[in-house]
Amino acid sequence: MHIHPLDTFQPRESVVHELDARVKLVTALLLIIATALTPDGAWIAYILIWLLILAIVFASRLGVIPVLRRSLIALPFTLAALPILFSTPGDALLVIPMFSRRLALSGAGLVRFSSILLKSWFSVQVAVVLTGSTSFPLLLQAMRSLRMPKVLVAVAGFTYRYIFVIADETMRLMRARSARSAAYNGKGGRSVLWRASVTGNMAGSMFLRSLERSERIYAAMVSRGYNGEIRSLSAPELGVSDVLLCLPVVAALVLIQVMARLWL
Amino acid sequence: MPAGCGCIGADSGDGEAVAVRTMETCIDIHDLVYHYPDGRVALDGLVLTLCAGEKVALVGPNGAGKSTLLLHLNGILRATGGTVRVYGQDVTDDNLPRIRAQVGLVFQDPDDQLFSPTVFDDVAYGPMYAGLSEQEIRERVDWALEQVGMVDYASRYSHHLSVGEKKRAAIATVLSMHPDILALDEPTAGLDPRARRRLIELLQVLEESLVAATHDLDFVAEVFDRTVVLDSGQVVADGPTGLILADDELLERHGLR
Amino acid sequence: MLLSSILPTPAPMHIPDGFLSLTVSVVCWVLGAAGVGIALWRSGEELGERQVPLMGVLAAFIFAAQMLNFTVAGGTSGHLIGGALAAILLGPWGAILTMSTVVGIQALLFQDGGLIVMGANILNLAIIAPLVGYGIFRGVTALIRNRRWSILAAGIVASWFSVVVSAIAAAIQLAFSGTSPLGVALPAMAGVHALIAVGEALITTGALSFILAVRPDLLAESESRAKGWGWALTGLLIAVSITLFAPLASPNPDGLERVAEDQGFMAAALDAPYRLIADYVLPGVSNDAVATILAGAIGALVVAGIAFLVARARHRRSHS
Repeated sequence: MHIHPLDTFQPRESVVHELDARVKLVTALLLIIATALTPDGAWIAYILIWLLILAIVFASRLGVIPVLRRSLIALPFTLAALPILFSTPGDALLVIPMFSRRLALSGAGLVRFSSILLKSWFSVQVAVVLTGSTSFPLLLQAMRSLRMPKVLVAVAGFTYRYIFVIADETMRLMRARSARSAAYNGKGGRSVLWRASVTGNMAGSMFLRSLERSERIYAAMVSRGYNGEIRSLSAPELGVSDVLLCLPVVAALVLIQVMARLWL
Repeated sequence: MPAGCGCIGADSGDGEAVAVRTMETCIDIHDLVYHYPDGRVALDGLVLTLCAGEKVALVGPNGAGKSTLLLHLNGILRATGGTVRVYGQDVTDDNLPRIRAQVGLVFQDPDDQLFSPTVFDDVAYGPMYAGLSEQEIRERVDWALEQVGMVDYASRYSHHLSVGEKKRAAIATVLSMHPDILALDEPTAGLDPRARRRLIELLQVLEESLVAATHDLDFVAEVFDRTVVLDSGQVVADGPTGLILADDELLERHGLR
Repeated sequence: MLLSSILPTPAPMHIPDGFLSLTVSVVCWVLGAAGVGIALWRSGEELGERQVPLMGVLAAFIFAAQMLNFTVAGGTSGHLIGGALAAILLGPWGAILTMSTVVGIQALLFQDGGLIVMGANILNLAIIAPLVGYGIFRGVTALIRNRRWSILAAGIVASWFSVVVSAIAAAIQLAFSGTSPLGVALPAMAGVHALIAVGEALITTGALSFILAVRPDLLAESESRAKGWGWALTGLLIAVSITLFAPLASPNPDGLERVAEDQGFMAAALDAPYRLIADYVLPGVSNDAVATILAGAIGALVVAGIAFLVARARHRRSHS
């Protein structure tokens, strides 16, 4: 099976891969919600949650290191939460002199910031395992079963189908631009404004090509009898064993929530 | 061992990127290895030397590495192992602007190269980026369009051209940069006989050095003096076109007939 | 045809899981779902059976377009998010549909944006951005007579505001969740995105200019003037109400001063100029958020002014 380098699905032989996509989707969402519900500073609870997630990662045979590496993707956004360190009222742990002022890092701020960081990181790991172990078409099918509007599912399916085609074409366009971006002696490039307008032209060009492509696709669909109604084969029966497999996970989550609250 | 091309080497002893322009400077490729990100080997120890003024055809089955090789000539792909030197310069980030002025690459799908509204804009992109004066830009565009026989197309929208017209326009977009070497990927693919004839005539007349990846053996016979056969990422034959194309057994063995 | 690994869109606006409180996430989901639902219905009516292939492929286009870039200086580059462009080319409903699909796929496939907070990301990038962009576009094109100049100028202003307003919305969501105090989140998000939005404006205008040249029929005026004013009003209303909504997100309107008194250097540094403006403009009312908004509004007017001049210059040049 040829998988595009951009696609995140990694086929493996694992229990997690075999699980029904609906079960996986719901479990993943429950995991993320539970993580979000866990109070700040409940470190033991965090460790337990992480162990649970790592167990799932292990079971999925996706490899702990690759999953952790992919999960770092949300890291840049943590800068948004940085101010929490300094603006949460509390006893100052550390005072950093800066210019004529003092930046005071409060203990409470540190707890809150770390909690946000960890919880976010755990959530991304869950998402990575979900997408790594479930092909997108199956995910869409799962969402359809969970009552997502079928037009939306159909649109997303088309997007998935053509995302790599159009992305590749866009990359080739940029590659051709690089190939003609030459300078004889030292600098080239003209002005930022010019480069931006060339980029805009490329966007316009890609739009027209995509539009025309969609019209060809529509013609092909109509030629095969399409009349606007979305029909798909019904999803396979939900296996009892699949549900049973994720019950322990749910139970563990509930337990962790209770413990986190009792211990605080 | 590939036939030597009588090149006077252009690399200076201290390894500096010196573009010494003697009569016969070259593209010098030694043991080029290239792996795709997923690990597949595309080029497996390729050795090749090209000389100024030559017209060389690269032939081979699909997957032989022809397009991949071309992409190394202007630094779009970087070697995983081995070296590529263009006019004595190693292919590095610093050298790219100069190398791209010397090696003009025409891609297989002309749509990939036509990203501006009008033909004029597309042909002018290269000179404009390089910061040439407005007059020089116009002169180059006029010259390039004349070379491909599309002077009247300057204000036409690239989007509306036919395949043959797009191919010629794509070549013009590279010619306007006055490269020393023109590298083409499947130039005759998708052309009707008339457009193909025009292209052959154009390439026969062009003064730049040519290197082209192609399946079209009749095209090779008409335009190129030297033919290099690639298979599985390596050079398996290299010699005068007449000899190579007469060797039926060789051609069959490497999926060319 | 080979791609080295590509990072998803670099715009720092896709909020990851964990950064918004569950309450905020749920509210945004409700609003987002409602918006998408309406868009599904309306675009279905307009496009009929073309809806699925058209919207699907164009969503793929938006995703790919977000990969386009141009070098600004050194290592930085300008990008496109596409909310306004989508709205101008596809109409508001088509834009909501395609942008939501893009946001959804980015979150699901590439972990760019969280799953629980997807409602908020959809609200910001797929509903607010296109609606503000569309409204401002209709408004500006209605004001300027010359067709080409009006489309280009409108494109600049609409796309700039679409990015900045949706960034403000994200800041408000962060503030309501207690993740980032409004006094820092708002100027930070709005400030950073005010710059990013310039790249958006330039690329959007370049795209519009291309399409105007090659397929002007796609930008033809199809709706009546009256409807145009209706949309302009809607867009403006959304933009304004979001910016005015901001103060409500600050749990303590004077929180900024309190923090400054205690310890926060950053907060204090930001506080001073705003206090200055507030005292001058509305003496006695030290409402920092209002001052922030005013400062932002002045900045926006300056950008809009420059945009008009640029569009006018390009128009003149192309006609000489």
